[in-house]
Amino acid sequence: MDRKNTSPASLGRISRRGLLSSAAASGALIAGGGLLTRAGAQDFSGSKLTYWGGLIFADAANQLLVDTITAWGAANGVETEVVMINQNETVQKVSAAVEAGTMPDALDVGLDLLLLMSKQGVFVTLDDLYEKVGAAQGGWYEAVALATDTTSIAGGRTGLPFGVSGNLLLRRTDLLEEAGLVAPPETWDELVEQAALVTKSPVSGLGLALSNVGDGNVQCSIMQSFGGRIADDAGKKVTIKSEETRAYLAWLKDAWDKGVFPPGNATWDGAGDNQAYLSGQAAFIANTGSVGIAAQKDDPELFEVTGFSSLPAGPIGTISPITPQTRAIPATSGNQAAAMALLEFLSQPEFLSQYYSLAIYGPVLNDQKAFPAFDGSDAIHSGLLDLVENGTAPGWPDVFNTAFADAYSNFIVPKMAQRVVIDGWDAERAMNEAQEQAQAIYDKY
Amino acid sequence: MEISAAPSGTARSRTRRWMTGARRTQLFAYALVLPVVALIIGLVAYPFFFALWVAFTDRVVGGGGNWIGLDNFRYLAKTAIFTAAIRNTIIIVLATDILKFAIGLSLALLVTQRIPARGFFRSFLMLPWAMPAFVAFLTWRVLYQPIGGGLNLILTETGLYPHVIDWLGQRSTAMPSVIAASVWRGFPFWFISILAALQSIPKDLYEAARVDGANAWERFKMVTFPGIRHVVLITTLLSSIWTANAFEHVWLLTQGGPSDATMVFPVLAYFGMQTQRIGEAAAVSVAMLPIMAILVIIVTSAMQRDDD
Amino acid sequence: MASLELSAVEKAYGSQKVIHGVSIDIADGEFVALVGPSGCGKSTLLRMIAGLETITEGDISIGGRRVNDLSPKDRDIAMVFQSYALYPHKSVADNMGYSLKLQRRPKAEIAQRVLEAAEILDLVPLLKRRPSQLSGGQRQRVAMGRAIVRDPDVFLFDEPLSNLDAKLRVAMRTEIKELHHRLKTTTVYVTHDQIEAMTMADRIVVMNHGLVEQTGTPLDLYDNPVNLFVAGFLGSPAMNLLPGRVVSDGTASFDVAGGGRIPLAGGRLPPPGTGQTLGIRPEHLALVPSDTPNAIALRVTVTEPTGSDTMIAARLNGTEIVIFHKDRINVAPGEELHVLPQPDQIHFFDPQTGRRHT
Repeated sequence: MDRKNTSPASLGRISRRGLLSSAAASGALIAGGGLLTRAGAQDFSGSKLTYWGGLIFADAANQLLVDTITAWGAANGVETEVVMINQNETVQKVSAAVEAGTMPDALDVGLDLLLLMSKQGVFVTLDDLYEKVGAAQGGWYEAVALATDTTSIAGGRTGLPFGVSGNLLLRRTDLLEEAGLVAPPETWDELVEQAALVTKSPVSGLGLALSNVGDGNVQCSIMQSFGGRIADDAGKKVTIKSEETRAYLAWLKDAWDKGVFPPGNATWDGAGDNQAYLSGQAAFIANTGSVGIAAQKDDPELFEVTGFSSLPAGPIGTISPITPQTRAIPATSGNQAAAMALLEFLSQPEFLSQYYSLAIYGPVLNDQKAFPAFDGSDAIHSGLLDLVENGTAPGWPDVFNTAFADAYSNFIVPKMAQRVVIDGWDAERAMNEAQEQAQAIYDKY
Repeated sequence: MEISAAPSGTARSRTRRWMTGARRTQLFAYALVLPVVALIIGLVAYPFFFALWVAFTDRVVGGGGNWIGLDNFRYLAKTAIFTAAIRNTIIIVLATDILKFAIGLSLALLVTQRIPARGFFRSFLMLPWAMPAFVAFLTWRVLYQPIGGGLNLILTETGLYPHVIDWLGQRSTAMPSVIAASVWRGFPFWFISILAALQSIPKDLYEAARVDGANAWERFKMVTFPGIRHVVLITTLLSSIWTANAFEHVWLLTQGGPSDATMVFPVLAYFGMQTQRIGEAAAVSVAMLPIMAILVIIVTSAMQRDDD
Repeated sequence: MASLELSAVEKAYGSQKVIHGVSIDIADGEFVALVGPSGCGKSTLLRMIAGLETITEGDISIGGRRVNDLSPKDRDIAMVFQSYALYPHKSVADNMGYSLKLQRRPKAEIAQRVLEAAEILDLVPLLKRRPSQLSGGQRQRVAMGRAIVRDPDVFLFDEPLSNLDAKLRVAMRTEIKELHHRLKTTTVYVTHDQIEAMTMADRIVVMNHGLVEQTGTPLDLYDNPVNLFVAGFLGSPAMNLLPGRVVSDGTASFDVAGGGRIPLAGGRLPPPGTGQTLGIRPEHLALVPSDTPNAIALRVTVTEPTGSDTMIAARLNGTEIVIFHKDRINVAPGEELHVLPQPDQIHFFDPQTGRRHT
């Protein structure tokens, strides 16, 4: 399951209610005034601004973003064009735009892409804005601040965080209760046990992807929770081969042999686990909450019996990486002043509070904890808040440098997992290969 | 403008002499061809040579790219998945070519007989090729699904085989499944090409062979096969290149998995793009060239032999 | 070598009958031409002898053996096709030797027999070439070579010279005839060209609409055609056929329908008064001085000098008559000409049945 969403790259299916509510919201924002042009600020009326937003599963949130930006543009005399991009396609679209020189004035960009692009100097630095927003809302969450610090690679901060996503463990409470299980599993071993108890055709307990997609990289977190590491603390020498990793692989093999994985999970695409859960074939999945939202909308009965909890822990603890989403401004933008102003506008609590209740992100600033979205009434949002407060920085305990990002996007850990369960290799051989491959990647940097 | 009383060697008169009627026609011809040549250079030649160059650099998205010689290729050679890609690409191309040839030939021979509804079969058999590729392969993906997929339903409901088979998720069945879907999609091209070639064989050659005493198999060897050989060679060349370059059949079914069971070059190049390391991705594409070149040389020399 | 017998042979495609009971006896070593206009069924008949078409009714026997149910290869026949049908990717030698190769003959024997046939047909320098590298005439010889190598009981030729130009056709005719003299194999030769039939065949079978019109030696058919069709088919330029009636008022003569009168000098005449068609070949009309008794006056319309003779088209009132004069003559269109028919060469045909009065 991809972290963000699985819907097709289109805006469609905006409910009338959603439309009205978001229109009302943005209208309220504008009417609230005082946030638009400030006396003495740069006047950029008459200019154009293109914004690429990250399409997420919640239509209402997408619509709110579009409307808010459009309204801001209207109020400031800026001609805005908002394009919503499926977040499975962002890498391709951004790569193509960078090469062709057609980048927008501002865009939503995930952490991996931000890091990679910042290294190439694609984005401008916005430290002043970052400090300003942080000061105004109680300071940034430490994990978020650490993760998005691009100073070492770009000479300054290039991304303004606006939301955090990560994985929660979703479970079918009805099936588990039937088997006499009520509490969510605390450890990976417990998870496999519980999954095994409810695995009975057509249900497979553990809907974790083992394929070469983003979801497959959950395996990396599991490996780390067993103590395994991609590389050393300096982020240079690969250390995949270890007793801890061996322990992880043993856990995996055991789970596979118990038959808890759904058939085909080694070739799932980004939507594979979502589909498995939504069609009732999986009892557990790791997901950001997009599945929850989908269930809420299309299958309320399923939503009723879905429980949310944080990811289980391994022998050394819980590794539950958060993925900050940021907004950035390309250096090629011809309207950076307006873009900065827009970014600041979109960081205001009035907008974000509304947005968070509709979206599936956790907060990035301490004061945002107090938003109604996170008051505990909604399991998904509570889970996301918990993730931000207790989750781990991306890649932690490994150093999230560009080598790590490269190895990550090469699916080193899922491939190792596949070697063990699909090809039947013993742990030794699989680890050796993963070690070699990863070192070859690290050596490039 | 004054024309000075100069000897006949003035520039203007020289130009006039040079621009004869024949030359004018020639220039006009060049002018007509120019747009197409520009298109070819711009859309084919330039990207090709650019990619070729990039493969030898360390270019990433947004970055420049310095010449690093064969480093990308050395890196690729170290990755296990690269050798898997070579092996799998060759396997897929060979297997699909042979199967498509067998099926295409059998059907073409069948359709040339006087069976009822010949015309219907001819058009009907073109359908797999006529539909969009992604529709075809997504449908196959659904058919192969372990739970609720058509194939497994047939097996379990009719009692042919009691267990569900994870066609795409097991190493043993992943490649054959991809090959089956690809053959289903591609055989009409072979069918129609061979059919056209069959119909161009003069009927009296068969009669001469009959009179000479050839039975059906001998007639096939002596008349049919040589008659279609040229077309078969060209079809093999085209089909092999298309299959080797094809992305959607593997991507939509298995994304190159499980593990590296079905990884092929185009999918590998695509994955390479996701790391933003364009140099490496280009190197993957360029690595295919020698194999393609060998294939082209083999087939064209076989065709040459034919003409002699 | 063998005799060939067709006995009441019929061929029908579904309900459509195309050959209506043909019977022909061909002796061992004979060269028989099947001749007729397009669509008369000669090729179909040939293919039935070869075994490429099924026989609906009747029997075909080769050397006394009934071959109706035998496949072509078991009938011991060899066929030369109109379009040669040479295997394009094989050399001349391989083309010629293919049938023997199928019979699993030893390589040495095949090479020997191919060489012999090649020597007969003057193909030895071409043995290694491919058909595409040969001229039309050479290809035709290779096709014949392929047939010769098999040493069959019967040769079957299906309009083999149709695709050649006129000059080559003449040369090949001679060659085929020489070949026949040399090998003495029974031959059935299908052609639509009556000159080929006349010059090459021992006997001719004239066919029309699936029926045999007449069988006989070439000169026999030429001099004594049994009906209008055969009379008009053989001979070039064709026989003059003039509709009219015989009259007898003192001397016998023929009133031509288009006007004019032809005196008849006796011989066997059909009963006067009835409508007849008078037939006289162009070469049997002699040019005579105008004062010759019984001469017919004609007005010249076209002259065609060929260098050694002259063909003259002239008119007798409304009817066109062709004269073939075996010499040069200086006569212009519009001039008057006098001719005298050879009395024993005048034929009469019944206009209804087409049959000749004997």
